[in-house]
Amino acid sequence: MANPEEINADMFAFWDGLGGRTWVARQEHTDCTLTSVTEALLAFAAPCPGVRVLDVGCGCGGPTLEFARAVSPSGRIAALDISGPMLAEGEARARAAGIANVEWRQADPATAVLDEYDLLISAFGTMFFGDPVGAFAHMRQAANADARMAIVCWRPLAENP
Amino acid sequence: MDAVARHLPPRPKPTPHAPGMFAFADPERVSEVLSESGWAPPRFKKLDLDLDIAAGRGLEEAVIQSTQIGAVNSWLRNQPAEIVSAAIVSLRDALTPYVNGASVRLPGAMWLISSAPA
Repeated sequence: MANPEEINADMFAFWDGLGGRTWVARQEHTDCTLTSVTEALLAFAAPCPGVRVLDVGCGCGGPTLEFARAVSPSGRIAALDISGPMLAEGEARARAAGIANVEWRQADPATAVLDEYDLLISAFGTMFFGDPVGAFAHMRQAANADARMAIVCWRPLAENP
Repeated sequence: MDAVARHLPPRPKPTPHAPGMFAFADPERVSEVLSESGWAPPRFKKLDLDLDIAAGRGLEEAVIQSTQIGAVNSWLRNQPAEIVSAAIVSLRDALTPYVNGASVRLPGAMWLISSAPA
C-alpha cells in the first residue's frame, strides 16, 4: 500500500483538480441526491444554537450550510477541505444565502492548526485520510472536553449496489 | 457496480481499509482507529435510504451522474473508450429496474457514527 504522504498527494491532485471541478459542476445534482442523508446527519448530530462545529471534508458545503443555519448566528462552522474549487462553490452559496457564520478554509484537517470545537461532523469525508489514526489524534487535540463527533460513511460496497 | 465491473480487467484485490469511499465501512476498523487516536468507543447506527441518483431528472441524468461521481467514475477513469461505452450500456440496463417516473432510487447503505473524546 502506498504510504500516507503519497495517498495524501493523490487525494490533493484529484480533489483540488479535475475531480473537484467535476464535483462542483455536479453539485446541485449531488446535493439533491443526498438531501435525505444531510437531514439524517443533522438529526443525528442535533447541534444546539451557539455550538462551534468542525466540518471535515465539507466539499461544496451541502451539509455545512444546513448546520450553519442550525447553530444560528451565535454558533460557527470551521469548514475545511483540501479542494479549492469545492470550497469556492460552498463560499459562493453561503454568500448567496446570506450565511455568514462559516469560515471556509483550504486545509487538511489531519495536520492544520484547528480552533477549539464542540462538534465534529463529516459527511463522507473521513474515509480519505492517508493516516486516519494520526488525523483523528490531531483533531482530538482541538476538541473541547465535552465535544462530540457525528459522521456519516458508506457501509461496504456489497451493500451498495 | 457489477454492471460496470464485468467490463473491466480483473482488479487487484483492494488493500483492506485503504483510503477511499469504503475505508470506514468496517465498524471494527473504525473502532480501532478511534480508540488509537484518543476517542471513546464509537456507536454505529445503520442508515438505509433510497437515494435518487437521477435527482428527479430521468434515467440519462442518473447514468451521467454515476459515471462522473463516485466509485463508478473512479473505476472507469483511465479505461479505453470502448470499455467505457460498453460499461455505460450495462450501467443503463442495470439502473432501468430502479426507474420510477423521473427518479432512479438506489438503496444506499451508510453508517452514522458517534463518539466523544476518551
